[in-house]
Parts: sequence; C-alpha cells; structure tokens
Amino acid sequence: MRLTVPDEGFTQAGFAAALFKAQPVVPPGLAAGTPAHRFEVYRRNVQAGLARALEARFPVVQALVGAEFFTAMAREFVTRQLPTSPVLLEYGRAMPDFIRGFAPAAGVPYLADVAAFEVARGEAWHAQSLPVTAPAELQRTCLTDARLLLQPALGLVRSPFPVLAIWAHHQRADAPPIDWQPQSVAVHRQGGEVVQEAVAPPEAAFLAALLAGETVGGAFHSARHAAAGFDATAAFAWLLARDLVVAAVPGIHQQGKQNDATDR
Amino acid sequence: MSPTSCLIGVGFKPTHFAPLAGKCQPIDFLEIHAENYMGPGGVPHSQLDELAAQYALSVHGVGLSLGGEDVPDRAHLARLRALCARHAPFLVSEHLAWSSHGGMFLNDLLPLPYTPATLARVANNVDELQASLGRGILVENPARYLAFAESTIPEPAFLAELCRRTGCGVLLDITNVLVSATNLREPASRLLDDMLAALPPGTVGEIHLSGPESVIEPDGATMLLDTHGAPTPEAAWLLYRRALAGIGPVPTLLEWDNDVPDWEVLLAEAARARQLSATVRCG
Repeated sequence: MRLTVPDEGFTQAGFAAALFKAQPVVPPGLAAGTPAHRFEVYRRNVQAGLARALEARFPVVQALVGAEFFTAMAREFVTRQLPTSPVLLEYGRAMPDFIRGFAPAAGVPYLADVAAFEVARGEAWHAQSLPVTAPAELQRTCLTDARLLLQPALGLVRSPFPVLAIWAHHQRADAPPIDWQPQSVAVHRQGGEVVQEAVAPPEAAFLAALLAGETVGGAFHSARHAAAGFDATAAFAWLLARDLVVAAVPGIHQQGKQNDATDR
Repeated sequence: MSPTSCLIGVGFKPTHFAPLAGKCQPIDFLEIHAENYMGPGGVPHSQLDELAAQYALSVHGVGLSLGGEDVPDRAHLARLRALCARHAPFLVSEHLAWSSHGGMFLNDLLPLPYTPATLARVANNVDELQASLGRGILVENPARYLAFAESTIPEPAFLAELCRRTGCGVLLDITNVLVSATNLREPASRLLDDMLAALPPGTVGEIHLSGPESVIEPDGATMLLDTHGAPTPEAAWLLYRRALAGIGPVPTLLEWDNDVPDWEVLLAEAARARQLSATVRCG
C-alpha cells in the first residue's frame, strides 16, 4: 500500500515525518516524475541506520535474541526515543531500561542487565583516563572521612543473573559453562583494553557506595552490612592495584557527589 | 598548487590501527568522522594522538546539519571546536545536507531544495561554523536520489555562490557526482564539468573517492547507492582524471566505511590515486 500526501511543497518537517512512517510514503515537494521508491532510500537509511548503531553497541544482546528480534526491538526503541545529539556513541544509554519494560523480551529476564553491562563497556572505552595520586600520598589523607574520585572508566553492574558469564559465553567458544548465580561485575580500562572482573557481593556493595559518593568509611560500613567476610584492606588494595583511585577528597564537610560515574 | 595538494589519504577505521601505528605506510593523511571522536577520552583519542605523530589528520563532520531549518546546535559546534583544538587537523569538512530536525538527530545526510532562501540559510550556518572554529571549512556535495520541485539553482552554482559568500571551500566527492548524475539522469561528466566551471578557482580543497552500490530500479534503470562499501568503480576513476586535468592535484581521500576491506586493498586504491595525481604536476 502506498500512502499519498497532498502536495503542499517541501518542508523539513514533512520530509522528516515521512522518514518514520511504517509504510512507504512520498513526502510533498519532490520534483515531478520522481520515482516513488527514491524516497525509500532515505526512509530505509534512517530507520535501519539507527537500528544498526544500536546493534554495534549491543552485540551480545543481539546474539542472545537473534538479529530479527533485535532489529524489531531496536526499531521500537528508535521510534520511542530518537537521538537528540549527533554523537551516537551516547545513544542507547537508555536501552537497559527500555528492555526492562519491553514485554516481548520478558522471556529473557537477564537481557536488560547484559545491555547494562554492554553500556558500561562502551562508557569505559570512551572514558577519560585521569592521572592518579601516588598511594603514599593517599595514605596521608584521613581516608575514613574522605570521598574517592575514581577513574571515570569504572562502572559496576550488579545483577541477579551471571551477566559476565553470559557475556563471556559469546566471546569465545571455550568459555566455561554458565553457573546460574547472581553476579556483580566491575568494568574499567587498563591501557587500551576494557576489562571486566566479577566482584563478590561485599566488594560490589563497597564499590557501589564509593561510586555513589559515600565516604570511604561509609562504604566500608555498607560493605560489611551487605555480606559477611568483607576485607576492607583487600578491597582498597584492589582499587589501588588497578590505578582506579584518582584522588581522595578529604574532610567531613565535603558536599555532594565526588564522582559522576553512577552505579551502572 | 599548495604544499598539501598531492596528499593522499584514507578514511581511518580502528580495525586498521595496527597496520598504521608505528609503521611507515605510504599514506599522507587520515580522515575521521568527527562524531566518532566526541567522547571524553579513552581509546579513540589515544589512537589519534599516536597516529597524529605520523600522519596528517582531516576531520569530517556528519552531524552539523548545515542545511537544517533548526538553528545550529551550539553544543555540537563546541564539541567540534574542541576536537579540532585537540587534534589540529589540516582539513575540516561538513556536508551540504541536513541531518537534524526539531532537535532530533536523524542520522542521514538528507537533501535540501536549492533556492535563494536555502542558500542564505546554509551560508549563515557556514559563517557561524567558520567563525566558531576560527578557520575555513570545506562543504561536500551530497549523493542525491531525488530533486525538489521548488529548486531553482543548479548544484554547481549553489556551491559556487556558497563559496563566494562565506569563503568556504568545496570537498568534491567524485563518487557523489557519479551517484547524483546517474540517479537524476544526466551525464556524470557534464555534472563534473559544470561543477569545475562554476566553482571559483582554488575552492576545491579535497576530493573523495569511494565505491557505490548499483541497484536495478523497477523501471529497469540503474540507481546508485552511496554505500562507501566497495572498490572505487572505473567510472569514478575516469571522473577523477577529468577533475585532475581540470583543476590540478587536490588532497584525495579513499573513503571506505562499510564492509571495510583488508588494509592492503585500501592501500592499493590509495596507490592508484597517487599515481593519477602525480601525472598532473605532483612530479
């Protein structure tokens, strides 16, 4: 079926609206004799192009549901939220939340968390790398009352599903079998590589608290409450060994968040 | 002829970082899509820092919507300015097209009618961009699939007048000349000749070459799609020679964005461009 629109002349609004029609249309204002399928080139480019941008960002989500399902889901996402910026590397941050509410994906309950993990990997790839304070210098600060400024690349995904194992399964054929337990994953960058490491529940609570801007003391407290067996020294050493602590911001009257990375 | 006239470049793809970094490849410059390097930092920028030590850089924007009815996106202008400040490209280019509307980014280079009103709008946007960057830019002729009833200015005259009003230059995409002429049913050599005749001397600051995809239309005619995913076809190489004969050597870029081939394939295309370019005064 081909819809026809009364010819009132070209407007970008009319042309843009026609780009998102589900069925082929011809916008007003084209030169006489323009074959009807020429506008199709633009309509398909725009619709398929944004879906492809999401595909590039969520390869494992795509692998989990198959290309056809992913494309349909991506198109639904695109019609609900077009990018507002030409910087497409930012497009798709809302995909995990969208998937959580996307009824046809309900049969794959871990899909949204895998998407969140792929978002975190993308953010780590593009994040700035800040010079870190020497550990000796850090130890001169009273850390209990300090907030930590962490590398912007650091993200955390906490999931009731084994997101890292699922993801790893789509990276190499010889990945270990998936143990269906909850998993928390820290994502960061080392040199030119994005790395992901499973972290135990108390360490995940500690990282989440630091990323939310709590003081080191507060984060220790959160971690001890989250689960038994939290080793504060080891958790801090884990951060230092990876150069993830940029600086400690001392003082009890520091207001607000010290790091804009969220618990992602 | 300027010192950069004979430079030959390729579109940079991260998959080719390994063959390029620290190697002496016979390539003079690399071109990046500006929007892919507008993240805060990370691997993309560190790769560019490393490559910039060896190769000149060209920044090619695809998101400014110079032909758009929206007012220019000032945040995006600022991002482009920051990118240029950080990596000091020798060329900066954008498109004669629109890609945003009503604050939404449509992710395609959309066509505009060529009229005195659209010319005035594009010229204002180019003025603002050049003032913001503090430098001249090149504007690329688009690949066209259709024309508009209200257009009154041929594309060559439109671009020529844009150059005169703003002082910008033209990025002459030879493949887009071939694609547009084929799709609008006119001889590509005539569109190219019209372009070269109309543009003020010295305004073509760069040439793009790429491979389109050929599609048979329902009426049996051939339509070309500007896919950047195939070798540069012979018809485009012929037009390139014709352009070189007309205006002399110009920095030339092999543009391959989809189905990116092995590095050697790209290198062979660049070598061919260099050989042709050298026949006209590159010595």
